[in-house]
Amino acid sequence: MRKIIHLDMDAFYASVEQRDNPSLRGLPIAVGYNEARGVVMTASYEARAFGVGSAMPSRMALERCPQLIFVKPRREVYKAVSDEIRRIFFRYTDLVEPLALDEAYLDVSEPKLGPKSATLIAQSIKKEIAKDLGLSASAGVAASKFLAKIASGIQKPNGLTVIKPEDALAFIAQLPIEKFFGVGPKTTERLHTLGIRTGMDLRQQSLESLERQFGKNGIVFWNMAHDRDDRPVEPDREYKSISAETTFTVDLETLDELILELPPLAEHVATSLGKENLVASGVSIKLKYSNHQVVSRQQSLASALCDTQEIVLESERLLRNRVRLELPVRLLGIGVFKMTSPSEIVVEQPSLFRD
Amino acid sequence: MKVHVPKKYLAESLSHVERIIPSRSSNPSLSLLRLDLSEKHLTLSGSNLDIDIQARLSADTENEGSFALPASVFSQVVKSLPGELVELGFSDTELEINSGSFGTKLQLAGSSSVSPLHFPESYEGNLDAGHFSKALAHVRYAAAVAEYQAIFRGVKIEFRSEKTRTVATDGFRLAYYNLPVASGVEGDIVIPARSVDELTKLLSDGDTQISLADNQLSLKNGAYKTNIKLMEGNFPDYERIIPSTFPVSITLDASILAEAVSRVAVMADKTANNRVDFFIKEGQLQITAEGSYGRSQEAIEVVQEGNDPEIALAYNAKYLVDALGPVEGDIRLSFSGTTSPSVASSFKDPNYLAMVVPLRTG
Repeated sequence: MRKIIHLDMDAFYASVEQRDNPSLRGLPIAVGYNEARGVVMTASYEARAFGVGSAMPSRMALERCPQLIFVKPRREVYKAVSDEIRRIFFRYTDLVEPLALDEAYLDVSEPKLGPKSATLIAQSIKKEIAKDLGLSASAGVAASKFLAKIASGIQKPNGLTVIKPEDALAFIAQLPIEKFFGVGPKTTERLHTLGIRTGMDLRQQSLESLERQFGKNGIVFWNMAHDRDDRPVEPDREYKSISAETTFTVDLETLDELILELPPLAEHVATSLGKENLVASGVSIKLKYSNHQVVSRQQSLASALCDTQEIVLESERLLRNRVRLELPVRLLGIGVFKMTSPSEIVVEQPSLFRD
Repeated sequence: MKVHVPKKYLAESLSHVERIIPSRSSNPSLSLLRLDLSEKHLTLSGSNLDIDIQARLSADTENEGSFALPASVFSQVVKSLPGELVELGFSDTELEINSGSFGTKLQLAGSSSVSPLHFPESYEGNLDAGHFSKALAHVRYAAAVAEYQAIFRGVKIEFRSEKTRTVATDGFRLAYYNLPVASGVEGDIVIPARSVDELTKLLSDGDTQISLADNQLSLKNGAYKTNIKLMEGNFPDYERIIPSTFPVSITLDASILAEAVSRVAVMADKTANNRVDFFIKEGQLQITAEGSYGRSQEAIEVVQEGNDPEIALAYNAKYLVDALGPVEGDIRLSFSGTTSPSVASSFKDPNYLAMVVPLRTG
């Protein structure tokens, strides 16, 4: 039986900012840019009380919380803090799979340090992060990545939730299906129309029927529902691509409408790239027509990009030049590929006048 | 009416004025040179809207008159004249130019097609022209060639009660030069770097008289007068970013360093900001660069000071070489950190200071 911890920093960027600037403590803050196309990267818990959330357009966030304070992101600082956090992880295990700057899986089945109890290790990691870095984290402990990740989200902030192997099936049974790995809003809707609302409902489906309805994902759902998640914690996992997509409530019919949908998607992609400190040399778009036919286009780029505006620009170019709309569009996605660490290809000349 | 002037003086004056006049312009009158005759003088003037220049020559004339003609054609003719003396014969429609055995008639454009330029009646301040020119020339390189922020394409001049300072930055490096003398005018202005290029060519010996108006800086030096249009916009508050503590600093000959950096930088990756790496330890500066063609390195003995035993950082080689350019003799390079600006200062000329931000190497 494996012992996996999923560790997730609480409101990471916002907490770092509040830690470094005491005058921001106790206040609703959003890390991001207060610009027309800006998006909140992370909101402090004070801001979340007003309904401000990650990836929310800055303008909407301000409507919900007019006193919201915007703080410009300091990626280098977050990266440095993240490195410190990972250093703490490595004291306990080498099997660390970072998912983002603020999130990682740890396999502590055979820990390098401390007791063999994953719960105790999670506790002491949380304690060390609090003591050394002045930040709080929430941890989930389980025998699989799927359950560990769900567990870390159950009590936030500063939580520790353990799902014991003997409780796993019961836990999954009551779990709403939207919590399942790979289940987005559209899939939720489709599962709901099939009368599938919980893990138990899902478990009662046959593998064949799920596969027929949802393809490969159906098999994943079935496995999850039966607590069969053998995905190992992969320390060297490389990101092959990052993407974001959205399904429209009403199908879009014109190019102009689609282009208007690009910025929030690009912001998602840029945020993910930023969290991993990566740049990409390729951009792709994906369209799904009303008849479910999927069209995708991709383009390699001469220079790497990581910025929302650049991603918008390149994906808009793909849309305008490489796509002829045949039917109304129900889904639009943007992706980036050919990713590298910026240090491998570009060396940045920082500005004298950083604010 | 006929005027005689030595070819040498005419050609020299003309070159200063003609250089700024656009050879082609959407406003054709801009490409004209204006010639004014007055008692004992011939004046040449022209403008490109950013800068007006007027040059005055002594001439054997009692007449008065204003004429305009295509600057580039006139200049080409004058430069190639065979004789030492030039005779200019003005009529209403033509300028007859005779020199040696050569003669030509050039169509005039009619003086009404160019409006006269206005230079101040009097000048409130003055500086030594050579010093002022040096102050401008020392910092010019740091201004941006093409930067989205227009103000970075300018050079700031701080005319203060106790000193005069020139400053230029492109946002990544900065240079300033102090003239520890007051000019008699006060005010902070920014002028286009391209106008600075003209100024440094124009200013020579003696005093330059200075006048500052709302939208222009006017100078008079010898036979030349110039108006320079000021740039609008806020020059960044640079003084707050000049670091004051330096864990490591080194001293060495500026030209030795500049040559070593240039030599090593041949291998630098041009697509990675021309990166050269510095490693300083135990009185030795090691410079390395690595690119797709190979790797170079060079070690130089330096005088090392500071509380930290070593530092490693990277620069854009061009920025370093540029910053060292104006320095003769020893330079002190002071490192405030691997990501904060490094400061270069000259021992021989403490008025000069340059700052460069190291590259972020991830």
